[in-house]
Amino acid sequence: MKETKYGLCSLGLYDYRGVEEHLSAMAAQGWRLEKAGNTLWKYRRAEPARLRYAVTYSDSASRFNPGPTEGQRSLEELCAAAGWEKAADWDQAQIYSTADPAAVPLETDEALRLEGIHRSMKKNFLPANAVLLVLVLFVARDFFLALFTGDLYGMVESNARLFAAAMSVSTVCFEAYILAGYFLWRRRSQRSVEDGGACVPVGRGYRRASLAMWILLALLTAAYLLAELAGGGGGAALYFVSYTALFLLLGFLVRQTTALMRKRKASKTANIAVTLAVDVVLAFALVGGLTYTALHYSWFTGGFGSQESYEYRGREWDVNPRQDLPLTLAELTGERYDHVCRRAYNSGSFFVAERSYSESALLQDGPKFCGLDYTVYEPRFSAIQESLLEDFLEDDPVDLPGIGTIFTSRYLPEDPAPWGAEAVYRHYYGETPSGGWLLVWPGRVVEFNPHGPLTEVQRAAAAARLGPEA
Amino acid sequence: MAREKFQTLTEPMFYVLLSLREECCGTDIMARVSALTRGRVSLGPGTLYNLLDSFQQSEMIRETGVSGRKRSYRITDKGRETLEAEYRRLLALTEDYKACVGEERPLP
Repeated sequence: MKETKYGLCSLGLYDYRGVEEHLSAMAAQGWRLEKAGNTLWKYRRAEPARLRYAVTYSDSASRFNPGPTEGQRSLEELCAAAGWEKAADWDQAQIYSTADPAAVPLETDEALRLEGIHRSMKKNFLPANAVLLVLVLFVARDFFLALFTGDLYGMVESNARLFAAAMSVSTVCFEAYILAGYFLWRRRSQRSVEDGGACVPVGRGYRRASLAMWILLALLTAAYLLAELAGGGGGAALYFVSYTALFLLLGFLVRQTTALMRKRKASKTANIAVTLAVDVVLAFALVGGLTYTALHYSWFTGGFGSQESYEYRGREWDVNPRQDLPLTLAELTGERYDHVCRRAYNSGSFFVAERSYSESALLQDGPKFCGLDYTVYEPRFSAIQESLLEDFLEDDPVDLPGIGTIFTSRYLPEDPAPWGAEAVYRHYYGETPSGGWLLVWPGRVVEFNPHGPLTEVQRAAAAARLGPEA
Repeated sequence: MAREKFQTLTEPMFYVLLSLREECCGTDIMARVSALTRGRVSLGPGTLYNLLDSFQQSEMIRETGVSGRKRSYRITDKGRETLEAEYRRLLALTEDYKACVGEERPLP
């Protein structure tokens, strides 16, 4: 039989009634609170009992303190004299229990209770939620920037961006609901107390919103992973799963650091400093290590789980080059290449499929490398295609620090007839063509970069392979 | 509108200050208030803890000693003035009541 168990905490720090009722119900079922974490609460098995729980608040309490503060000890002394035993700390909330049904309640003055709760909220709950609000807005900054500039394609260009935006919007709504809920509860409680009543119950909205948020988080994560896997973004999915695992590991290690410093009786300042230092160093090390691994093994560029290679003339070449490229150098030039390296990877999102291809090749022992790369975009809606084209066709000045604009990167229209496309644009650096092309068909845009000039025949061959009817 | 802090005293505030005319610790205060009011006013430990903290910050009481976990307190001159002001306020209320209703007549 399990002696301990964990439960998700969906109560607000100020919901003292909710905590009291929840813990009394758990005690009746034979579970006592052993440790109250931010998200998970740990319970130990005990004889089922009718216990009263009560919560009071001590704004001097902190998880970084080496032990109970003088204030907390005084409180414990007073509570013990009144028949209450300390059950756990939950940030500033001090949780007590008693089996004595006649014990004096911990709080007998509602105005003071409300004041104590607000002091504690200002110390923890309110700043933590405000910081979280800023963080989630930062994570989805690209989406919001695109939203404010009306860049539809920028909003939907990748699953990761859509996921970050969905998470951010849900969290912002949740945080706004939580913060507004607290201030509304405080205002209503103030009125009630001024009229001689008690603080008003928090209601089930907070708990429901917390649970809904967890469910939404799970659903969005599943949707993101499925979308990446379905679109061939196995590397991105692996990165996300690894990142999440490392994030959880980081949280665990940081909490262990705080606990270790606490055990060693380090001062609050020293504990905060060391915890913060460990947090920053580990975050850089873990995320840096993961990013290095992802880049080294080409998780995002088609290398994930891909070809065996060999080295020749200082470069890596494929033993068995992939055969799924819509257009290869050999098909474009009619040459036979002895050394080939091909890559293909998916990005994009549910709204716009985006598949990038690149190929480098060496003609026998010839002196120069040949190359080709192109990206095929397939927007699901014409509005997204228009927005994508707007992004491409916008002049992009190339600046050098101290010199200013040296030239403008831009696409200019060309005759689409040789390509059999609806529209064609040629890329220029200033007045000089760069060799890049933008080929447009209904529902398909191709950014095409052959590493050399093309004949009319080659253009037609490329268009035939890259167009929608290929 | 919110009442200015300690401009008027609630019952727990009044009795805590009254108890601290003599030096005593928190547990003694709880017992004294209960005895003084013949059990009418109960002082919860959380409430007392917050009150003692607020009174100390407002310099209405001072800590006089620590023995283990027990801390003793005593009222200051500022606290005494606040207590007396409250007493005068309560007296004024009583006088007003008497003037309106009379000594003998009980409340309906």
